Amino acid sequence: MDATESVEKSTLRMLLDDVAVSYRVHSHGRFVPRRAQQVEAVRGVSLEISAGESVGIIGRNGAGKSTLLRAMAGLVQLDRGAVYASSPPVLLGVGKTLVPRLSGRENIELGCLALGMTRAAVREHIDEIIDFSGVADHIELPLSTYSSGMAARLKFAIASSVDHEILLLDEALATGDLDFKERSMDRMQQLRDRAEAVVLVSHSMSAIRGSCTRVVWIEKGRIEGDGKPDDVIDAYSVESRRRRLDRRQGHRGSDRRSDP
Amino acid sequence: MLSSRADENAARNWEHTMMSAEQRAHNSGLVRIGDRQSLINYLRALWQRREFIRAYARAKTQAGYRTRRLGPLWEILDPLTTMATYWVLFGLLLGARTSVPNYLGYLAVGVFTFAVIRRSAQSGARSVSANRGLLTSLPIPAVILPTAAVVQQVRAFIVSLPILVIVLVSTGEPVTWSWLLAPLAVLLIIPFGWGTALLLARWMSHTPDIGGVLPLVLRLWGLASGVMFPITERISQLDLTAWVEYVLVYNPGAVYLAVMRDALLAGYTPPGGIANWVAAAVWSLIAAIAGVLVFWRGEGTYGRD
Repeated sequence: MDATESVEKSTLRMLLDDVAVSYRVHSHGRFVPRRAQQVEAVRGVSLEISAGESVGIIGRNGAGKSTLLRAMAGLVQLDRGAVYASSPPVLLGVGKTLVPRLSGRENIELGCLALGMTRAAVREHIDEIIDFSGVADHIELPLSTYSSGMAARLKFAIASSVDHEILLLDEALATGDLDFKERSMDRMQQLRDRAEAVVLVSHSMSAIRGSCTRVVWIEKGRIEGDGKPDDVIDAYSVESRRRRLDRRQGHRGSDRRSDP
Repeated sequence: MLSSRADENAARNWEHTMMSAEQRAHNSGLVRIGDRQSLINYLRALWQRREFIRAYARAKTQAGYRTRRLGPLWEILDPLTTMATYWVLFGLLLGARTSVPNYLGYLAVGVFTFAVIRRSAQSGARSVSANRGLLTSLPIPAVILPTAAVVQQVRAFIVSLPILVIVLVSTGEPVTWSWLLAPLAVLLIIPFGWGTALLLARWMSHTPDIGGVLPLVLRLWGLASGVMFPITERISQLDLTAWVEYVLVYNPGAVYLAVMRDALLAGYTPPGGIANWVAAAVWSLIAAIAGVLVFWRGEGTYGRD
């Protein structure tokens, strides 16, 4: 007992205790917002993540994966429960760009400064980061002209250029060509080697298999499975196939909803 | 007896899991995410990101230039066109140019100085609500955004400063020792603009409607503070109650214009005299402290859903 506790002290990076998040959705009337509706996105998730783990989060659209990730980053108000971490987790999503009006290069500079690099360090590393992002041809153009895949690669390049204890990624690795995928998996391996904890949300099972040591399957805001990537992904695939069959036979209506 | 021991164990385990999460997090050196930092740490985090603030303000400025053909020239054209408009409207048509010895100089100091306050308030107010994406994608405290907005406006003011000097000298204003007080006046204006930007940014982050009325309110404030003509002299003819006059003379807008004019214009003495300098310092302190406290207390709500 004492032994395990002392091990925990050194390796536990993140602890989620019964986290629940709900959104108030305002259905709009013609002139003013009408009644608010409560949508429960995450319904009590407890999770422990240790150093060197990279956890893939899978699940259907609207299962609460992205919300869970945002909760881990402290970006949403929790209904109950708490998120504890060894240092503030850094979240990289695809949806939100950095500063759309500024060029890719300026965004890299700003991103690196925000992550705590000095100006000198930024100058030293910027070419390397541009090179890794694979958007060198567009680096002087405003970010608003980038495709979402290019923006995601740029963000991943920025974020992974600095050491973090905890890195949260939303779909970043699923975007980009084969070459970028391979390079980003190498980079993920490096992050893990530096004993950092990485949490990755993705619909790409190959990206998850290639870069995660553990997979958590979220279903309707709850944990449905947690374990080795192959085991959980297999169970998830079986469930998905069963659901597809059910739907085809008309036993079950579509209960999918889009990500909030 | 075996079963009771099992029960005991189960109860102990249950108790352990009940208290454990927070306790274990604490034992493992984890901190709760989403808790607000102490004020000292918050300001320290702001100071540590000063390089970011400078780079962000500069990049924003340059991005603004890129969208306009005349680019940085607008930094000069903007106050000059405003001045021209006011000169025709108030100076010529309403006859204000005879109310002070050097009306063009009076107007120039007013327009250039109030622009810092007005633009700080306006872009500071927008800074958080318009850049939520940045807050959710970079690990920065939200206070950086209004701060960078003010830094950007102060930079713009400094860039346009030579034009103000040219206008003053060419209208026959003597260069005196009291000009050395002008930088001090600017140093008093900056914390005021910062505090105002912080207050408005928090307000606007949950009431975006403010953005609709703010430009009008700020222009009216400029009028009431005497940007265009010495309004207190007109008002005093109306025989109003003393407190209205008091508000007009000692509202922050009027006070900062008064100290700048006191420093730069030889032939003009603003109402209130030396008391303006005291009032300017007091307003700076009040605005900066109130702004920081109010904005800090809202941290954690910016950029959230």
